Amino acid sequence: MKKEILAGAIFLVVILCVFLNIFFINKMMDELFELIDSSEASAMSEDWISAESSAEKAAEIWKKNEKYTHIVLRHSEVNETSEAFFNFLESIYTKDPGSVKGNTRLLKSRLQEIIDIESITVGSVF
Amino acid sequence: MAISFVRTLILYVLIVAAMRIMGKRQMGELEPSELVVAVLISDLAAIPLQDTGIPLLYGIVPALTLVACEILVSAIVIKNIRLRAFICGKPNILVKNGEIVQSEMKKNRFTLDELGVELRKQGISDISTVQYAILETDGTLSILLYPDSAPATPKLLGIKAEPEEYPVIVINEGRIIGQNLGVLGLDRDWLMRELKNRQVKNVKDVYIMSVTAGKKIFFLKKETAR
Repeated sequence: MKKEILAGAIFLVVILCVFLNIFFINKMMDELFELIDSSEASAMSEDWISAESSAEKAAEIWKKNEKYTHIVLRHSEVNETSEAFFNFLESIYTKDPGSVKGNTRLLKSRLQEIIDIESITVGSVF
Repeated sequence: MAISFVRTLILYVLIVAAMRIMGKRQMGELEPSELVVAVLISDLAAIPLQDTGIPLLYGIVPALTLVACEILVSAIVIKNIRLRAFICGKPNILVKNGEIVQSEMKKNRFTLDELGVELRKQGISDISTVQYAILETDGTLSILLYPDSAPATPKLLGIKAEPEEYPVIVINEGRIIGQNLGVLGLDRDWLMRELKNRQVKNVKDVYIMSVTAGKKIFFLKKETAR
């Protein structure tokens, strides 16, 4: 019976971790999307100080959670997203609205990919 | 390289523990569901080992889930006969009262050649001596011979056989197994007396010594001490 209890406990812990991971990733992504959108909007209105501040905050959040993301996501996905962050920051620093638009799309699509992979949907399961 | 090494150690410990938790049945007689789990676990463990770009969790989480599922399903299967039949299958009678049941042979994709091989493995060359052959759920073939072809037992011969006493090892390669001595209700003083009777001064000189409940002793000295 001990084995069955242990197996049941493992099963529940795995399920709990899966849902906690989804919750954590979604929460982080919501925060990132908000900051990236805000940075893009500021860049479009040529408020580069605000754009820079929001973009740096977003990059900081991503960097802070890199250890966690490396544990739960494929390293290639994390590296590609980090690269997209650097491109996004570069376009803000060079104050190029066209480039900001393109790099924002790229970064957001990378982040959305992570959400899609980690969420339990028909598409991600099959 | 260091990552591969550490990962291998972690997965080794995890898989050995998982197999141990799943039980001894896994090693010898695999039911279909157990076979699937064993194969899948080894395969899953290989993925993060081959590609260090994949997090270790991608191997650990599915392996833990499979082990947990297997144990839980096994526990349910013990209590539910219908589910047991569904998951483990049912034994199939391939030979019934000396006749090969062709429909069952076909259903189990079991050829006459395979039947012959299985019979020969069990030392049976004449199929007409087989009364029943049952294909068990783990894929092994159980054979029951006609009584006139079955090996003679003391009961058939009318001989009274004494129950055999199980020998317990009390010295294993020079080491005293105290727990086994206790099982037999013996102590070290008794052991030392027995060794002295056999002209053995040091326990380390004994290769093996086993004792039955009736104190029947099997004793062998180490080659180096002879």
